[in-house]
Amino acid sequence: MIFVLNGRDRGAHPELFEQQFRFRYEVFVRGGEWPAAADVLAVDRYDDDDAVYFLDLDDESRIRASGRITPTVTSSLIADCFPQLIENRQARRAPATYECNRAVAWPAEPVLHARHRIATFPLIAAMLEWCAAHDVAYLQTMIETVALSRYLELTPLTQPMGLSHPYGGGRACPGGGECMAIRWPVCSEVLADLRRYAGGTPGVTAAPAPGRRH
Amino acid sequence: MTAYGKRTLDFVERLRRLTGYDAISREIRTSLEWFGLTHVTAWSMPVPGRSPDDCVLLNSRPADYLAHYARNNHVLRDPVVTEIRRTPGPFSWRDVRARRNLSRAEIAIMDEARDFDADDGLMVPIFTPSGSVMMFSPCGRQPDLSPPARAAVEIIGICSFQALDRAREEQTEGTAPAPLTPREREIMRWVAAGRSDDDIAAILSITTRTVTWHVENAKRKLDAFRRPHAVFQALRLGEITL
Repeated sequence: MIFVLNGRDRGAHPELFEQQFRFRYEVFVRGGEWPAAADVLAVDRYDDDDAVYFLDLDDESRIRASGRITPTVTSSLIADCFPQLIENRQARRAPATYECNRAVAWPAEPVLHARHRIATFPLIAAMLEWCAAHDVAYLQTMIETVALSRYLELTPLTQPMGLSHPYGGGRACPGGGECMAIRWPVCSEVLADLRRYAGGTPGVTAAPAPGRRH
Repeated sequence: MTAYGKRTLDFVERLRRLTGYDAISREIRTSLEWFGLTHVTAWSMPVPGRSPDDCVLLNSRPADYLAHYARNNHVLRDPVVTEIRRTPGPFSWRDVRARRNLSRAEIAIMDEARDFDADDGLMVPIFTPSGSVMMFSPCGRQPDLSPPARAAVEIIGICSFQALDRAREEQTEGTAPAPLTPREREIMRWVAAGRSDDDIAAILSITTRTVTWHVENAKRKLDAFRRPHAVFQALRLGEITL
């Protein structure tokens, strides 16, 4: 089941937030040597009260995958750090546009691996369902360019927002690659594509966190 | 916005509105001409169980060049093709000449393309759900393959592949996939029974590698990227029963 938490719920669910931030550290910083030994948390400036978190928990409340969306008006990694990725005349920040980032799944797999897709696509589906329920018009995110075909497969309405740009020295360097920005319009066609794609996957629809009213 | 970015995003928007294989392929060819890429091929490596024609999604290279290429079986030695296994990202024909010490035979294959209106091109690998790699390969005479042009053509290629694939699926909707061979059916029945490749190899007195090979062929025919999906497809299509 995928649960939704607001940033302001941090006090009510400290254990879930801590687990999520440690989870991120393991995947993003250590490269995935679970379980964590050190008490190190990966928190950034976008983890504020307005952030919305999507947590895929197993039966023992352990996080299998997690992701975050933020309102771009106040929190946008793309606008702050990668403005060159947006070339489609669209504003980098807009009231009805949210941004998805920090989507992680365990075990950590390359973006082209089927298991990565199986773990993260339900999160994206849940994010878009949430966006539809909250009158958000677009959900944007930054991806590795090589994964564009995966997102187009999810829905052909996936919109590139600009050309790809190298990061970390580009594809020729270890750990480097090419990234680009994409967005999804939050509309019935996209939601239908996602539901069709995730058919049979339990808990795709975003639900309130245990013991909390969303 | 750069001219490359605008061209690319406008193309993606036009492509999204098009339906039908012919209209889509026409739009792709027209858009690539701006880069000096006058020919384009979208294809996958030939695999057992599929005819070579099934491996080509789009092709506008000259027919006489293709006939010549096939007659000489160049696909086995063409350095641009063998480079696919070495380089995960897009690369140009010129990159291959620069980074590899090519044999005379390999150079000859690349040089021959010049006689058929193409001296450089870009190979864009596209990873499909089944795990295979499709190539989007436009080429021309002195095309623009500057870094922004490459970034643009990569996105054009990925979006084109998806649009063509959907159009072809619509065209072939309702037609039956290639049937499994008796051996593939037999092995898929064991897979459905939860047996490992080692178990199946022991039961059938064949090597584990042969079992894996048959399973992979069955997966391709059943358009499945995982074994449970292949079993489900085989049951659904009546290829096996439990």
